[in-house]
Amino acid sequence: MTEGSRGEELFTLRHVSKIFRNGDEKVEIFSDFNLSIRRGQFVALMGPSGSGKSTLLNLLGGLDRVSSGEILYEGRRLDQLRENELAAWRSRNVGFVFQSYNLIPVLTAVQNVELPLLLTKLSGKKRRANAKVALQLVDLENRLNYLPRKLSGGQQQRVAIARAIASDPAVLLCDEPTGNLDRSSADGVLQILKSLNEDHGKTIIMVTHDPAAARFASTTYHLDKGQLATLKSAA
Amino acid sequence: MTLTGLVRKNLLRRKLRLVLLLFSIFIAFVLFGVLISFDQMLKVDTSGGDRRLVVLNKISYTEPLPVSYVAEVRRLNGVDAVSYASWLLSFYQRRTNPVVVYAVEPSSFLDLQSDDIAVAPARRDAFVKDRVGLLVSDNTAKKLGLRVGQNIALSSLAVFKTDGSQSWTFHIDGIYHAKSSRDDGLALYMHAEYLNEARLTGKDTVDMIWVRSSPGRNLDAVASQIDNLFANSPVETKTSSASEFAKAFIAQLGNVTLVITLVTSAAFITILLIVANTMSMAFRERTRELAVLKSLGFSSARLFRLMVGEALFVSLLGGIPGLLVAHAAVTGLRLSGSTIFQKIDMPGSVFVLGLIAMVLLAGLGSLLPALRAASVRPSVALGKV
Repeated sequence: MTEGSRGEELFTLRHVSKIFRNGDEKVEIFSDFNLSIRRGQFVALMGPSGSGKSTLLNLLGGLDRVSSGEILYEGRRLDQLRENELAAWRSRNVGFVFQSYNLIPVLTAVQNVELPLLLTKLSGKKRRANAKVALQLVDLENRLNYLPRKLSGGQQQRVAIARAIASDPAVLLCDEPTGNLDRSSADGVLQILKSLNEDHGKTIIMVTHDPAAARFASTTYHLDKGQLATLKSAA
Repeated sequence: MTLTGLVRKNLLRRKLRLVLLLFSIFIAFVLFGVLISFDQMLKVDTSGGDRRLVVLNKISYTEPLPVSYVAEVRRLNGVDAVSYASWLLSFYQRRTNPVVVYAVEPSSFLDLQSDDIAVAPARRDAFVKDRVGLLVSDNTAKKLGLRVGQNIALSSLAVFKTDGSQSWTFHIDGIYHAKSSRDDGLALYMHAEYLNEARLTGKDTVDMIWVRSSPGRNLDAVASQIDNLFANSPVETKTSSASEFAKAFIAQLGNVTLVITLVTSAAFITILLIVANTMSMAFRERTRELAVLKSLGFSSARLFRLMVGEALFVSLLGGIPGLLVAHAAVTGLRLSGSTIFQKIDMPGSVFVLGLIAMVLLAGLGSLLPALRAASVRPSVALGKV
């Protein structure tokens, strides 16, 4: 179970701007962007392509840097951390789930799930045990030694979720996790995310184009041209 | 699952590429081991403390000196002992068994070479007293199956006897062991008197004069003194210290050592480029996965270490068997009975050098690809901006 109280401020973005440079051309994705995400929220980010949803996810996960402004996690400035500090922070606090699963093809399901645990001081046995627990949570305990190519898309995404939660992070950042799945598989994955949010207290921030997926979230934001609008809020 | 396991899994992705890469590295280190061993074989101990000088004909070491020079040198100040030698290139039974016989003044020569040659006192005495006696190195005796007390005939290649024959009969009086690398442990020693009496041409000449300077005397001064003595004579001399002589002798093989250096360097640079290219390809194929690892919390430094570790693993996996096969090849050459390779060996220092070369190969070969791989930006590599 994740530490901290549900409802307290987890991520805070203040006056964030993000500019991409393409030669002489500057593309401004965000300007004076502000956002607050609370612990235990299940946030869906929707919006047209190129609106900055994935960029926002990358900024929150420390995979990208703001051009100006502040990003705070539990009151700590992420934008001021060095690369190695950011990597260490990521390994403890954030799990990523990608649209195309991004499993390592030469590793079995359980080995893929063990990957983030290689950064911990856990023993080999303990790592394996934790990885099995994570796979149990996504109902894949009977597919431990399957290579990704032997698994269906839905199963691969569940392995990716297991990998994301293996080190028990507070936050899951999901970039169109159901984008490559059929409805049934997508619903299975979304049920798991919902359960991780409700039963295990994980804060989930999910980029999606799918209104059906967004219905699983407690809060839905619409992002367009760097502006945020709240479509739905449980609060 | 461990980081080593991850490295191993990554390496086994493309088995054919791995096998070819390992084979390239394997061949490079077989070459490395054999060539460096050959190079070591050509090296001569030129450590200090040697008071000996070698006097040769100034024109060339193949031109002789009058034997009368020996007595003249002996009279000089600062000269402690003098001896001389002529060589008789011969073969035993078949031309495939070549031997170099040095015709020496036995007592003075063995006295001068006592640091290099070990022979039992009784055998030494027997050789000194026996005009047709022969002193054989242990290596040559083993190779040709010779033993003390045996009578043998050697055939000279260029020197004819007064009776027109080229056959020289000897009685083996002793077997010696070469104590230092200055003696190649291959030569045979005969009496100079026997050669001088029986040879058709070149009588009363010697090929080299060995001099030991008196303790405390400056070797260069003694050498100059000798050369000045014979300056402006029909046969001028060139005197150098024994260590310089050995170096100069080896310098004649300068091109061989240069070729060794060039071949080893070329092999290494080629393999280095192959490793760099292969690693570059391997890392480029995995850019997306590296980005995923970064998103999981792997730092750039950790990814860099993983990549270099992968290259090191490959380098050791190909290199160590290469060195072991080189060792087997060197041993095979030594035991083959070939005169040239009788002293070849692959000491531990070559293994240490080889291991250092493997680390360098991995480090240099993977440095740039690993740096590039480690600096991958996940947001770009994952195709989402």
